[in-house]
Amino acid sequence: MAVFKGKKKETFLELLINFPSNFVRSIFRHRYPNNDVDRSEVVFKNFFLHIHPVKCHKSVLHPFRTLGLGTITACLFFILVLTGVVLMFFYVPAVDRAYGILVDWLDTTPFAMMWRNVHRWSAQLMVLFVFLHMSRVFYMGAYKGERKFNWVVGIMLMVITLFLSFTGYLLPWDQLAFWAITVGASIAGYVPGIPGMQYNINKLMLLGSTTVGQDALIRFYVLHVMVLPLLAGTLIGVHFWRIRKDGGLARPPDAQRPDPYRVVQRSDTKESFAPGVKRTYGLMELVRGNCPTVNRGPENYVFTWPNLLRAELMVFLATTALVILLSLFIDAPLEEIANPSKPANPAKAPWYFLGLQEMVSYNAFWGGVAIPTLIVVGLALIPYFDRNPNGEGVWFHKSRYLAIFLYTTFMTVQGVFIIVGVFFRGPNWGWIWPWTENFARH
Amino acid sequence: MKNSQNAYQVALICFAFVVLFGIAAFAIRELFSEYKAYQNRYKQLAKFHSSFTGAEMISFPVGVKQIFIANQNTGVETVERCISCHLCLDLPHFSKVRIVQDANGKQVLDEKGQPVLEPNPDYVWINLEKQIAQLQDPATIDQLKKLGKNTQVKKRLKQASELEKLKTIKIKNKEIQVEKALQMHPLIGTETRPFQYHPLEQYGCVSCHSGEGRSLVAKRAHGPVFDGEYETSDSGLKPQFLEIDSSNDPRFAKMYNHKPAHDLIFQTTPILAASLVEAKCVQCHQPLVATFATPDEKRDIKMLISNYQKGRELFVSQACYSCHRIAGFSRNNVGPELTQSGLNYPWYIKESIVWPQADLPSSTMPNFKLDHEELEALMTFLMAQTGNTKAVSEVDYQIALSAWEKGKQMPWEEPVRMQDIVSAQTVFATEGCASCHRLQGFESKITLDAKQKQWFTKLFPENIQAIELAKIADDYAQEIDENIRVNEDKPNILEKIDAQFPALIESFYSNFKYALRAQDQHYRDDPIQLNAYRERLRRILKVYVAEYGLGRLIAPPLNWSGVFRDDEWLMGHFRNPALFTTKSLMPVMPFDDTKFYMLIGMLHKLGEKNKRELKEIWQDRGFDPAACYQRLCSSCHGADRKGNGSVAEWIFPIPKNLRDSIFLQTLSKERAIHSITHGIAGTPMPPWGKAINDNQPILSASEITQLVDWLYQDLDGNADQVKKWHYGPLDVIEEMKREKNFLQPIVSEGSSEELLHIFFKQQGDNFYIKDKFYTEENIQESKKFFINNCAACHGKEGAGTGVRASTMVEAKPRVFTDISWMQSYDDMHLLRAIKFGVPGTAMVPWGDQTTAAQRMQLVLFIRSLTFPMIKQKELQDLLFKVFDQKVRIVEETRCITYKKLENLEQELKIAKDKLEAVIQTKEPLQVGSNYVHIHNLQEKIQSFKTMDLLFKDLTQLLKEEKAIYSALGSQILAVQLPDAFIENFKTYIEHQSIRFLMNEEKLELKLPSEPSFFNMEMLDKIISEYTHKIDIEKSKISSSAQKSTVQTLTVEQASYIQLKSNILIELKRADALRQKQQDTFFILYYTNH
Repeated sequence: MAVFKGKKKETFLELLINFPSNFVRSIFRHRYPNNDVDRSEVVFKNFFLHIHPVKCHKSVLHPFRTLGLGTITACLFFILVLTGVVLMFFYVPAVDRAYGILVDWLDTTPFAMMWRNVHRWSAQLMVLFVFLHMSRVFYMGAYKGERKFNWVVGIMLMVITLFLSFTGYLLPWDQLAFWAITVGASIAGYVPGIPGMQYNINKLMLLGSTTVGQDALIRFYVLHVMVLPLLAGTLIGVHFWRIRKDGGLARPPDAQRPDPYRVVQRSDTKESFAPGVKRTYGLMELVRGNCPTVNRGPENYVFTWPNLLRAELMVFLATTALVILLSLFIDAPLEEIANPSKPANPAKAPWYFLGLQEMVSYNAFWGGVAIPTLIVVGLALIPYFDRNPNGEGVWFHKSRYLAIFLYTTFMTVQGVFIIVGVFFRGPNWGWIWPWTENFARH
Repeated sequence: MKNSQNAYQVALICFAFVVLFGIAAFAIRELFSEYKAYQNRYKQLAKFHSSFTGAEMISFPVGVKQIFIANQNTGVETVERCISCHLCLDLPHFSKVRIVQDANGKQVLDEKGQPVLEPNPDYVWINLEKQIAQLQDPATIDQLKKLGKNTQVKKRLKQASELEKLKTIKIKNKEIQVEKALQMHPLIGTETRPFQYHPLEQYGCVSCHSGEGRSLVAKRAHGPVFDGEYETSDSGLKPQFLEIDSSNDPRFAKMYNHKPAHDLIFQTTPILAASLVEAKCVQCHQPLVATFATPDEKRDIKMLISNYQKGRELFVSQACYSCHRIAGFSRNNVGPELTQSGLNYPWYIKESIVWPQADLPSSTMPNFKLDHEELEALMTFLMAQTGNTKAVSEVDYQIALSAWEKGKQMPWEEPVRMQDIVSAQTVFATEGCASCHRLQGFESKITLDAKQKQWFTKLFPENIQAIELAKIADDYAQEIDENIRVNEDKPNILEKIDAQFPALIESFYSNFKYALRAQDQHYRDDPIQLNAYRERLRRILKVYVAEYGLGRLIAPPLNWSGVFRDDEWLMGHFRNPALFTTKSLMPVMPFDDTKFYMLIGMLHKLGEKNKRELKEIWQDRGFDPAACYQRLCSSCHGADRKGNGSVAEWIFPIPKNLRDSIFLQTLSKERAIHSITHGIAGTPMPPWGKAINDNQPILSASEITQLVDWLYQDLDGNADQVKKWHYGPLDVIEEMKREKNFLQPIVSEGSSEELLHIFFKQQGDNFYIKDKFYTEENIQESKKFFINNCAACHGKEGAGTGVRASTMVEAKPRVFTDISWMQSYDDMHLLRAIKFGVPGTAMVPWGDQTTAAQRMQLVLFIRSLTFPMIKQKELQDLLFKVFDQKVRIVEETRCITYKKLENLEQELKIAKDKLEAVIQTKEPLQVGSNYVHIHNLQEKIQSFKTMDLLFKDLTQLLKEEKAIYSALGSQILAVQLPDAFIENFKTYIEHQSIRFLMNEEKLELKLPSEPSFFNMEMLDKIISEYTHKIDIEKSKISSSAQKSTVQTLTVEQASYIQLKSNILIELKRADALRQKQQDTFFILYYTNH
């Protein structure tokens, strides 16, 4: 009987011949994923892909389930990091250099315009898609049940996205940037400060000074290129990881439950098994959740490779295409250099803050501080106060009509505020009609 | 499954392609950049150049060319890349012209000191043209064709078309002429080579031309300058400020007309085109005073910034300086400050001038309809304003500025001699008055007789349009040349102004400016005809000015103001226009009082003259109401009587629509005659039946009646039929009786006749509610009613600023704070207006909603609105009467002595000349007597000079005394004091002051007959009353309320004590000043004798 003595030692020639495939195999521990084993391995043995599950539910792959909004947002973040790094090679965060460098750079450096445009439009789109994504999640009731906290993480990411965009707005150091940030910072100044202190501590902390200047620029720079991206990256990781741990993307419960539901045995609870099932897969002492039964694959599940990854690639390409096309036809604005003595009238904040500015124009404290805080806190608390158990993973579930109505009204009002702020506000924040002669900002 | 997989694959491939396409598009943009096109073209041209000069081609590497300009302080250098496209800025063979040199290689200069230029035979573009012409020469080609050398013909033509292609570059589907970009920089002034005085590597391009030097794309580097080349983002209607004549308008008409659209917001520093470059010269060089410059250079500089100088003059002559502040130049600060206007964009400045309401809808600046030429100069001046120039150190600038702020006088602020009508007219024309007002009485060398005048007015009506003007000037050329001829030799006032300020007069008439250039294209090749045409127009303009007056029609014309306005009115109006004409836009001109008096004198003189002329015409042709209306009324009420005259837009209230039959019918002829005769106080409607000098008003009573009859052509206008005018005080009483609701505080029964005297006091035909009814209750009661019912139009303060006021187009709500108007109508007038309303306006009858007592209360309230102002005005009137007239007398005497001084100086000059001659004769006696004569003269001159100074001192002292009383008066009016106290104060002022009289051109003094003293008893009484009150309050039980009452009372008392001490101190000062006045006068007196 032949005894298996391990692998036969290769000759040197064989070593040379096998070197390429060995080398590849040392990187990828699986073959081309054309069978189920490799399809599994390609996901769980790859650092970059293992945030995905090996298999995912068929229903969530349908394009009209999620509209790919979350993925688009993530793609935009990826594009932003990439282009941002390129921009960092040229930029100097000094008030006397920043603008000049930009002007210099744009006409003399190959593809400068592309990098800048892509960065700018991605940033704006990201803000937009964050909101769209949030709305999608809300309308689908996807924050319910296990996914409560992931919604909160999402709200945090929303705030960070806004801050990222806001801090980046200042860096070109042109009039647009300067006055938008001045307005934004003055909104921060409406937050009650320390009583008895000469200056408002919040504005002071944001700007590093009482006015927008060199201190603010370096502060915004560091926040924009390091602190906030790291924070956002980490939270995005958490956000993704939670999706998996909370049972994948939200979907309506399956018609029949194929898998036993098992509760982990704890000292204080009783162990419970689904009756009639002998063996299941799962780390039963630790993990709570559905366990596939041995010998019975989960129904309606397909492999991530290629189904999910292909969809993701497509979303990524589509996003890139959109951004590139936008960049090709619309140039990122760069106005004249920041001039503190020549205030723009009206000085407008970036568009996503114009709703705020519009509210500030009615009442500084309520519009600028109280209501926004209430909005953020209120949004974060939605999953904890929504008592309706129905509608998880279903677009516009009938039983949620009130929630949907309230949310839609709220978003519409905010949208109207923003539209009013962008198009209908002229000098001294007075009302103008966009189709009548509206005058240059001087 | 398969299907979806396929769909996925197709989608993936598509998206990948889109991404690749996008990146490729960016790559293509990088590869074919604009500057490379220019550089390649330059290479081809250089090759072409060397092909016919034979010179060896210098190798030229394609790439970005840059100039680095070191920063003044530390820091990064500035980069400019203009020369990446503009490659030939210093190459002589790219210059159209070259300098003519004499045998020694020196420049040949013309009579102006400018180098003489000649066409450059070496000019590449000309040679290119020549070469093309040569290749395409039909004769040669025919010859070659005959010889059968068709290939050679083809080759030649191909060569020619290739050379032809060199002339243009296609960038983004736009053909661009390269010749403009690839050219040598023109020589400035006396330069012999480009950049001689401003080396390119040291100054670069941007320091003079502005724009974005770092950019490599024309659009961004140049910014939005030329019309049609860039996308603009205008929307909506824009008022057209001038008639457009695309073939003849200057190039500047199309520049800086639009704000940039989105893609140009990207780069908003435009290059300064046309003469605007001069603004940059001035930002570094102090205008005209380059200390290092030789006279030649100074002349050069003056010539180089001529447009800036013109703009500076325009800033004064168009009255900009009377509203806008420029530190170190003009003081008034009604409109936005322009000290740093150079930091704005040119199109913003242009827009703000031609359409002031564009950026600030509430702006009251009129559109002056400046022509392109004036706009260009004015913009140059405004673009140059950046505060300090680089030529002056910051310290020197601040010193100069503070000297100016402390009152260093600008030329127009200096005192003048008062009785000089020519200089008064010059001031009117050149220092801003004419920019808004039109004034008749400016004569020129051209005079027309009565018949010709008739012909002229028929051919050229006052409101003639520019196009018509141009057409008539051409069509009736012969007739015009026959009639409008120079008949006098001596230059008249218009010629004098023209000589001193060229092109100023025509700047007030945009239709003439338009007409002047209307034939430019037509007579392009015939300069003689063109000149004749322009000269003819200028002659027409002179007659037009003589006939209709000099100046614009923005404010009411002043032709006859001197006839019906007295000195007090005019002076008061100069000092505070809005007090005399409600909501007047007129700024307070930064003039010395003497200049105001000078202008007043001119108004009187010209007014009388114009009146005489008018009367003569009416005598000749008979009085024609229609013509009279056109002459006197149409500028406000409009030629078609609809209240839309050219001035109507800028005056308050809106001129009445005289076609409104309801209004006219209710007004009744009687009232209309009254309004025309006496004018309407507080509004621009003048009293046509008033004359201050003689008994000859502009319109006599019968003429006014005729005019009114004409206005009421088809209407009855009988007052008897209008109920309103029958409503008298007795009716008011009857109504109150009927309603059993009497005006408080007195309710008494009695016959209507008796009650009439209880409620009303009668002054002539006027009835006023008696003073005792002005109780707090009545006023508070009616205030509530007023705010609820009337304030929507009349405004809460009665200033006519209610929310509905802005929408009214026929007539605006009456302004109740207008003292002049309020004082010119009695209480019955107000009562009638409230009860019956004012038909033709938004004022509805309130008779049904109110009781008679309520209406009377309302009148009380409305009257009470003006009380504080009336007191203030009365005080000011008194001060004017007491002091200003004295100042005027002193100034007039000063003028007389000054005249004598001038005569003496003239005599001295003659005597000195004579002495020279006498010395030649060597006769000692005569020489001696001449010396004595000269000595005497010099002594006399000295004494006159001293007198002049003393006069100045006296004026100053009088002004100081006035200031003291004025300040005291406002203090007294600010606190609640009984009327008697104020009366006391007034009589004190009147009695105390010294009177100066002018007797036979000498100043005489009249001291107050008896020394009066100021009665402080009343104030003392008030103070002691307070002490009493405080004592009572203090004796109460201590509480926080009591404490605060004590405190308020103490503070109030302190204010009275303060007032008292102020009065004592200030009156002492006034006494001292008066003593000084006396002393000065006596010194004067003895110097004189």
